[in-house]
Amino acid sequence: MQNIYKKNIILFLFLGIYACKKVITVDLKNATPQIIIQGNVTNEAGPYTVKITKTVAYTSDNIFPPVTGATVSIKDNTTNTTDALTETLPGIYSTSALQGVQGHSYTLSVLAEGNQYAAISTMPQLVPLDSITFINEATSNLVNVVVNFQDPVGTPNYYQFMQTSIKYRFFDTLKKIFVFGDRLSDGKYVRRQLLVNEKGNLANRDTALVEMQCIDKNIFNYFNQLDRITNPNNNQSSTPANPTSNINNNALGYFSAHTVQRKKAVVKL
Amino acid sequence: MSISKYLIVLAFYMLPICVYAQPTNKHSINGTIRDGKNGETLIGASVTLLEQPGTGATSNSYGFYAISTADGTYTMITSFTGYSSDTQQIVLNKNLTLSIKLFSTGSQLESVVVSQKKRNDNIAKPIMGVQKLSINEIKNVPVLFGEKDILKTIQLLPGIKSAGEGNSGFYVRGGGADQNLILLDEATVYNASHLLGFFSTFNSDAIKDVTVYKGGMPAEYGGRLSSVLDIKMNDGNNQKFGVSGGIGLIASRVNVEGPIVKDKGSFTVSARRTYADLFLKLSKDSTLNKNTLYFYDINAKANYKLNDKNRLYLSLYTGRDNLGFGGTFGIDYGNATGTLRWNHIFNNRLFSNTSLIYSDYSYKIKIRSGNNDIDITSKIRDLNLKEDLQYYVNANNKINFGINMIYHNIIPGVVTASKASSFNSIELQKKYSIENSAYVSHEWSATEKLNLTYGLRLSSFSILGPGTFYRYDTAGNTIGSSSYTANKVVKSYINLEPRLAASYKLTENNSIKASYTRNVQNLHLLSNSTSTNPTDLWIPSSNNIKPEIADQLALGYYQNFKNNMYEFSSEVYYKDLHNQIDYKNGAELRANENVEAQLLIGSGRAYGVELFFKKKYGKLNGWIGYTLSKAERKIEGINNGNYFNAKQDRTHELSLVGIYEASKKWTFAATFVYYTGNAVTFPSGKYNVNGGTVFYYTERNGYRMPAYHRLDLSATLQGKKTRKFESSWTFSIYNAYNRANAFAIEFQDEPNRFSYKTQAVQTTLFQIVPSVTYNFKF
Repeated sequence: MQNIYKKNIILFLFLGIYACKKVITVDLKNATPQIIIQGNVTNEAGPYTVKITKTVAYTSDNIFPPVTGATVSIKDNTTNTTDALTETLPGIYSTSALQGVQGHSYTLSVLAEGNQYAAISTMPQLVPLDSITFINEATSNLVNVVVNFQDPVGTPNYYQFMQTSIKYRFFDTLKKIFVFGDRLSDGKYVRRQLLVNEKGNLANRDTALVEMQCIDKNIFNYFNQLDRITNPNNNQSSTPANPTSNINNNALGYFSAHTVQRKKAVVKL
Repeated sequence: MSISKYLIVLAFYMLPICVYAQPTNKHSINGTIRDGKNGETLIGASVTLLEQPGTGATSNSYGFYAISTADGTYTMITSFTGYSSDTQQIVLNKNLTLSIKLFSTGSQLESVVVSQKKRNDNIAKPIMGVQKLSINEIKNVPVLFGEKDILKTIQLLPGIKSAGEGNSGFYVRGGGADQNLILLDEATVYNASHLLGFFSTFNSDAIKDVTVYKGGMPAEYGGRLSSVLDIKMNDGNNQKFGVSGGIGLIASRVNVEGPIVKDKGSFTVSARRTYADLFLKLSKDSTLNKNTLYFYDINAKANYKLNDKNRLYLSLYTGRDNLGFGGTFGIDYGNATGTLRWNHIFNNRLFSNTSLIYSDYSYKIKIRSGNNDIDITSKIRDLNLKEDLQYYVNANNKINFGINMIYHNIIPGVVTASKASSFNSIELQKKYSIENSAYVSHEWSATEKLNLTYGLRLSSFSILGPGTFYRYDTAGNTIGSSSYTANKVVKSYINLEPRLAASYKLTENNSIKASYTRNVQNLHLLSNSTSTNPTDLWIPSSNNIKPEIADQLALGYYQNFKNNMYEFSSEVYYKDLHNQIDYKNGAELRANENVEAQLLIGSGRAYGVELFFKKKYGKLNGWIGYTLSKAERKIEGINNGNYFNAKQDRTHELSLVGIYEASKKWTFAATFVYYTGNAVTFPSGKYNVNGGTVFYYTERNGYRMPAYHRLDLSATLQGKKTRKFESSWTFSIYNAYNRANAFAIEFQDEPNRFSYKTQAVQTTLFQIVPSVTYNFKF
């Protein structure tokens, strides 16, 4: 239902006969650097990584300092085994023996710069992705990817899709993340259009790579909120706030145990 | 619980005050005050007796007035702004009915040299925080696209802030946009905007009178915290048939009016429609020319005098927006209202009005995209019975009392999806509620200098079954539920709302005033966007949501100069707000049965000073308004539970309005506004998640948008006036010096993908916008 709101933009386009945009300077405060933890466990073979970085000032370059020397472990709560991660690159910590299993829950523990952080995530059962197809919206002249799968009835399911578009005509790849919950689609055969995005749109002979992840509720909430503050079409529509993380002690980021499937298709018009 | 019982108790309580002195040989004069040319009743005209200064009456919403005083011979003067006064000698030895006709002076060029005193009601009356605008004042003020608009013109008054660039939404004294009670001939208008807020639903051709109460609301009004915007429609010319209209850049308007039976009844019908969609069709761009985009409004009203004691009024309004995007997506939405009223004059002293009111707001969304055929509908519908009585005890005492019953029926959402669709069809539980209230208020001229209006409103709100009502823990998880059958009371809230206003005249030309008002609101608009959306949802108070309550205290100083040609007022106010609604991070308000679990409840405060200086008469007239204010909210879970600026908090706000009547042909007008930017949330750092830049936020509304300022100009050329035909051209320029005001500021990575920087991009909605409108009348 989100595209309802996207399409209001067309109204603004009409009014936009008068509208204009310009880059301005805004004087922003510089918050004390915060820790960001991003960790994943999947049903694919390891190693799995946990990345720890810090925030920078708005005016700085997009280069985020790694947090080194942290103590990181992931515990499989079902088998009660713990994997101590080793720092393989600055700020990047890898597992050695852990294998993600559907239905198992995992606890991440991090001791970094004297602070202790923890998060729990449960890997849902995999929901098979049948295929990816394309839709050409007559009104927008954009080709979009459609993911096709059967949502299991009676259980809440949450999905994340990562679309990578490889342009045929020139070298370029564009990545976009979508999350989808079955709150209004429980038990339906879902043909979900990955949303219209001017930058991510596809043309003839372009390739689309789609990764489908089955994620837990907290991760869905996290990425759903993240989408609201990072999608430029959305970020004026509500007061922005930091997404609610499943990691405690005010850390930014997330820890997700999820399944992974991939499909690839080429646009043929 | 019986409302009427309370009412009787209250009436008895007040009785001793009114009947303390009832000397013999007293009689009363009453009647209706009308425009002599077209028979429109005049609201707020004043009647005074020259021999008894301090005695007088003001005509009510139906033009009715009544004065009762000791027998004698009097000179009775009736006056109204923009009209020549009427003076008559009367001999009072029995009850008199005297209908009065006043004639317009034709323009605002009212002669400055007058023998009698101008009205100084603003000094003497215990009315605070009230602004009245006549259509004449609205007519000349320049607005966006030349489409004159009541809701945009009131935003030029102190204490009333625009909800955004070119927006008809407004905030009053730190309150939210949904805390304004907007009444069109007594019917609540739930969504007063067209085209996502750029135009108001009020076609100014159909409007007679606009009154805004920012505080000190009389006890007959209730249901919203911040303000009452009381809009009255024209009754229609009861003397002769006429047609008028206008052709503008955005919309065309036509109005037909005339007598049903001369002097007994009249009707008026006004309609307008926009034609922006016709321009879209001309576009070669296929993403534009398949779209629809229009709105229309129809206002109709009729009244008929059955006899000297009874008159009937019927008012109808319907308006709808229709937006469609190439057949894949469409939304239509709008209001419909109807008011049937019966004025009855029981006797010389008791005036009654009974109203049966219907109001309705609905929207329908159609999505036809790929395999997804989805319709979403939502509706709020009110049935309202209202009885208002005005008892003119004597020259110094008037009692207003009445009761009101509203039945609300809310259909939050029905989603109908095709079988092949990825979505399930769902129907959210319908919400039924009943709102009862009773009020009594006493207008009392205690001494020649001291005037008081005090009263009490008793309101009750009950949410009714059928349905299942859930309870939630603080995390928003369901912890229990109870089911109720039809018409079973799930939860009731009873509130007493005291209202008090006093004025003390220091001299003939200045006075001090004070007021205290409590307001209660039981319908809440859920909107987590910064602008109003047609799909925003109204929800009633429930087992989880308590009524919103506001207490407002105000003090004022009023001064008139130069025979009341200039008026100055200053008011300070402090407002305490309880049970204010905000949203949890990432709240899902759409199609959600558990929407109440997504809310955060807190409190708020607002305070400020408003200065207003107005020149009422002469070739050059207009006003200057200045507001210094603060609006804050305090909500557990936001900003560590500390007070933070509400989004509508703007420290300074200045508006200037000047209208200059250069000649009989040309009138020029200019408005200038300046205000501090809204409080907004901007990032204070950034980081990276999965390869994308994410901004880091530290506090809610800790930053400001850039200051806003704008100058608008207009010129009106009056065409040749004949007995049969008159016309005029209005040329206007919005944002005359082309100020690039910020509508939005977005933070993003620089588009160059070899860059490692982020940037702030400002969107300006309207740069200089010229427009022209042609108006005619025959």
